[in-house]
Amino acid sequence: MTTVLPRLQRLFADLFACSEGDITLTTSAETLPEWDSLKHLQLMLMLEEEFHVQVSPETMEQLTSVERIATWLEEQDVSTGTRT
Amino acid sequence: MAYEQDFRQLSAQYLAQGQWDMAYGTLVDLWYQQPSLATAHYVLASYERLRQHVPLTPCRLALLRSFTVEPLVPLLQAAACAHGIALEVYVGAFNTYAQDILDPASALYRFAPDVVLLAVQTRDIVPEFWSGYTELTAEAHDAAISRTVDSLHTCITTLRSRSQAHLVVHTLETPALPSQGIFDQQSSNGQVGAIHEINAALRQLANQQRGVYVLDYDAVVARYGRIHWYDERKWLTTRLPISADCLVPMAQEWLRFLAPLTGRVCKALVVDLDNTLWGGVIGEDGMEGIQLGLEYPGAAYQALQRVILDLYQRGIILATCSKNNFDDAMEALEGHPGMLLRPQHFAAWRINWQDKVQNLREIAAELNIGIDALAFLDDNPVERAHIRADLPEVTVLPLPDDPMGYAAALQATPVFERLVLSDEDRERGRYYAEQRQRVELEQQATSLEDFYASLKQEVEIKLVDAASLTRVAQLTQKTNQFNTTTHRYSEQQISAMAESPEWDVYSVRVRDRFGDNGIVGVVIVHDGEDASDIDTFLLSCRVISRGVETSILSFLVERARTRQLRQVQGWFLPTKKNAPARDCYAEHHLKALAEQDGGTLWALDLVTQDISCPPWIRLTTCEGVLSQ
Repeated sequence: MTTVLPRLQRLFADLFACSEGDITLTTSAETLPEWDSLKHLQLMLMLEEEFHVQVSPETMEQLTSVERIATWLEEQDVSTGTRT
Repeated sequence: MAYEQDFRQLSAQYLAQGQWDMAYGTLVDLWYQQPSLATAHYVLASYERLRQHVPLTPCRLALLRSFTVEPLVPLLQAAACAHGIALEVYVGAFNTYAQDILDPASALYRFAPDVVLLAVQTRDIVPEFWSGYTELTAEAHDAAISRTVDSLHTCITTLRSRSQAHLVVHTLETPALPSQGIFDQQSSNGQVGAIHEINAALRQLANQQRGVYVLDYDAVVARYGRIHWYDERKWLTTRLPISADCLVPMAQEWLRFLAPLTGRVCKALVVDLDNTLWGGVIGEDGMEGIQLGLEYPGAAYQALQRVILDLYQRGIILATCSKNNFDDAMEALEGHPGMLLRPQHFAAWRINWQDKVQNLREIAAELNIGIDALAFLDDNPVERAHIRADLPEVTVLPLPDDPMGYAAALQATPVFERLVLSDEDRERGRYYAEQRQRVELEQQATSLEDFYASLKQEVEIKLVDAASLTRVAQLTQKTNQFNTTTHRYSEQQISAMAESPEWDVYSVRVRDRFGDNGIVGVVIVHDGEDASDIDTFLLSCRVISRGVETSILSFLVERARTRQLRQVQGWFLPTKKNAPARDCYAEHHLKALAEQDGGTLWALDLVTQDISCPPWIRLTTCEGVLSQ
């Protein structure tokens, strides 16, 4: 999770126009009011683009916090993936 | 990746220091380095902080759609921002494009768009052609085609009658795997063929209307691969049909239309030679040593030359700027068997050891075009960075490291896209080559009068007609320098003025002994009770200051006299670029009548004054006023 978190913080900072430091593992759709359904779709597309993963509709419903996203990404074995 | 982080950090630094132009330039670099959703959001948030300091060309786009496009909007806005366009986007409600267009009070019309994009998918507008096709009867098949074409026809003509906005319409896409399998291609009533039939009708509809353009969505999907393009699960759950990887290509395709629609295009391409037009260094490797030909690796350079030659055929002016010994470079340009480009294709060259910034300035001056009309192609990233930093008006084209990617990179740039291609466009490269010969003659002539007489110029002034309409509108949109008022008109507006009894729109064609320059001028006149008002008077820079202006004014004077008017008048409205037209009215002895907002109204009293056509110009006009 240590390798994925900084990259997630940057993605969130880009999408929500906030600073990376505002984003922690506990950040979730409940704590971040701007995290609506449209932003959620954009976030999922950004994950697919940045980490070269496929987010299924079932997973999409569950990835509603930074911690869940980080854990799921670790399971996908993307921690060593480099951005191109 | 480290490089990309540098651009982010760099842009943040420039922003913090208030170095707005540098911050903007760095955001552009960042976008070309890594066009992605993340970058798009970052670029847009950063641009918000500097937008009042770095104004871009504004454009209002209405996106009418049958599917989820929202994630594409920031990508398009970021791509547009990097291309110098500040894009405001209105997204129509889901699948309500027909209501939006048909209801005159809809939010679409209240938004007052400059451009309307109609993005409708096959599966939404004609679902029976997307799945279940084999169950269709012949009647149902025909009915589906006519229903769809009628619906598109209604949308296009209604929008055209209610709005001056340009309209870009997607073609309908064909399925990756037709219901009839491999037989579909040979079947007389194939599924793919049926969709193509609708697309053919759509192209015809667009050609019948002014300002309607077709974006071949089916071809875009095919270009990136039909199977790769779609994400069926996202479609089913979020109504977004396009996979995450293909969102950037979709936004880039839209930008290829927005660039010419907003005038963010270049007129000339300036190319480097060594390691750009051929592999290696001619001064060191010699004619036998450079890589250029049909075989790998020389084929990469020949492919790039092919693309450049295509641009020349489309009317893009070519110039070269290279650090080389002139004779070495000319030997290759003239004699290398692998060269597709030859000296006669180039309108200007600077092959020397001077700084390229200075060379580019000189090329723009020699071609008589603005420095912002130049695009610069060079394999050397240091030269590219140098031009970007010191001549930010020039469009520096991105090139990949691998020469095999050069041709595709040049083809991908939106700066040479044109929505229509007139005959003048196709001939422009030749005109500019002939211009070089004219300059040589001018240098030989003993007096200016001699030179003018030796040119044997003919000026032909005609009322605008169907054949010249596109060119006339294009000239009002593109001419910046010799243009008294810089009024921009669309084809629809020109056409409306031509039909109105109060307005006359004239095209001006100029020929000389070196060839036909084509339509190079426009005059739009509005007659009042006693004065004839010149709404627009513009000329392409390649014909000015040889008496052509005087011959046109002499026609306007004669024309006003036959209409019993007492005065010819016209505003000069100054812009950053129209200094070449500033003194025209004063030089022809018009008097300043009034001033307003920096502009001056000039007038000629027909009772006491006259303007006659220079003796060295043969003038032909539609009103039969002839002079020799």
